[in-house]
Amino acid sequence: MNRIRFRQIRIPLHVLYGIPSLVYLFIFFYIPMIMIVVYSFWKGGPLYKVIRVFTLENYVRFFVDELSRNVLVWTNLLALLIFFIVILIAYPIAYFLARLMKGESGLKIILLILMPLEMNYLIRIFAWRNILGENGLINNTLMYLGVIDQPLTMLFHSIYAIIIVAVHNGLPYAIFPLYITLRSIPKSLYDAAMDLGSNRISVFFRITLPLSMPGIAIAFLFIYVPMIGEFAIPALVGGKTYLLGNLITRSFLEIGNWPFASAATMNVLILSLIAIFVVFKLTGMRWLYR
Amino acid sequence: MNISKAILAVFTWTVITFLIYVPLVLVIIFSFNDSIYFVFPLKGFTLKWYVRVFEDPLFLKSVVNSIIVALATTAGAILLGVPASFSFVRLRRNNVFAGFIVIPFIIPWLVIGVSCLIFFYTIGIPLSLLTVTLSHVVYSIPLVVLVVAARLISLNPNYEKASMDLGADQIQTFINITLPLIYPSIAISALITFLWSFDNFIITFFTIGSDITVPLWMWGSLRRPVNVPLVAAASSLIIIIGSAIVYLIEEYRLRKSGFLTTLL
Repeated sequence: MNRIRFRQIRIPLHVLYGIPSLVYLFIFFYIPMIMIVVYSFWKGGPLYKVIRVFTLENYVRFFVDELSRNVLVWTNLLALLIFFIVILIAYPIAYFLARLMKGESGLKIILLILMPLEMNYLIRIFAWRNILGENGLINNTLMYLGVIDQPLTMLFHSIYAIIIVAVHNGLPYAIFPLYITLRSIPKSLYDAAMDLGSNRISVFFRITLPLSMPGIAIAFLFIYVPMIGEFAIPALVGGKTYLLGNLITRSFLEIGNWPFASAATMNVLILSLIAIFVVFKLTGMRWLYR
Repeated sequence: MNISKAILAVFTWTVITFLIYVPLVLVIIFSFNDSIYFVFPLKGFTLKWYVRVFEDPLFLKSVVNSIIVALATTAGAILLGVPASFSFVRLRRNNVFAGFIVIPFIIPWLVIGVSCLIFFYTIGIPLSLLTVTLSHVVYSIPLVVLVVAARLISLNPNYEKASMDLGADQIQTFINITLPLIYPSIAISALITFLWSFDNFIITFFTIGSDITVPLWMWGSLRRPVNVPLVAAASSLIIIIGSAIVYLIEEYRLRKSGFLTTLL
């Protein structure tokens, strides 16, 4: 007869070590998440008014209100567009470094590419302002050369500036995972495919591309997910462009409608969790600690 | 074959130069330029922006604050994260446990910032450097856990077994064998945590209240054109000091490191 004896339950030592972290994350991450969920179902108004009544109106607003819906849709489309541009630029580079350079010399260039990631990202946004801005490098050079006589406004305060800065930010996060996955494809696979009479285009689409999917998935995680919550890039170089991150920031700090802001944050959270879940299903979690 | 290789090489170097490095180099060049606009031809060499930035009391205060926050965050994340990495190594195949630790690391920082703001407001902790630190530790714990766990997993378990066989107890083995072996990964995770916390803008923006750190000083200064050269000077200092620190990390990366350690 098995009896449950509570006194004798022993927690293994290796679990014990993790408990402080788990408790910390529970208090300062998971409880705040639950609070966001709760807030998002409360009734809100401007100037930090919160009525503790259950309502779905904060979520409904994203379907009914045209402005909110457009912000949600556009942010997603923009994040996806940026992801595709980054992959298009990063793939040839990663391919070159991983498969066409001899030995480990590609790795040194990879480190060169990763180095600016250690720089503050506000500095990098600022750096691009100096190039794209109204009084920036491109406009001044063009005016100096007499190509234009009015500063181009297309570059600065526009969606193009956001794309350029975001691509700059995202490139290292795509090149490195792609480099790792492309490098791990054994050369014998290519030899076998060539022996069996396949040409270089079909080798690319049937071997290289499918086998580099994990790298693309990881890049997606590091580019798409931060982008749907981005607010500093649009605020500093985007002009009137208004993304989900700006909507959240404004609703929280300026308008003061916390329940609506929470619902907007829930959009970011749910989209990120879906992306994380799908990517982990595809690639597993091993790459995180390999 | 050789032509396509040459095209790819040119493409690679063009992207690295123009899309990654030129903007940063320009910041440094213009920080020495005697004009508040970033215009070629350069107006003349000056150090006045550097002098001014060090005369700006708000900037000095923000540096001190950033260092305090980054040090406290690093201490907290190491104290909590290093022990947890031992759990992580054993329990990494448990998706619930691994997900619980890893998710705060991958969630956009905006979500952490916003939820911490609501949390601190609701339980009535006034916003200050303390709340900033508490919220930075959230994403730093998984960072430390993943970097240290990567090293732990790659360790040869025979070292520990040999030590136990020779009569050392668990604590002696840990201090004499395990710790020296994983020490570089602890140092590197501490360095990354410090840098990230020092640089963190998004989470700090929500949880700081009326205080100031370096990224917030930049954010504020960028909105006033007169102060923009000061931002250039401060940025250049950070780029140069940052590069020196990064060089140290690179040394480690080249020798031995996991996927994530290299990416961060």
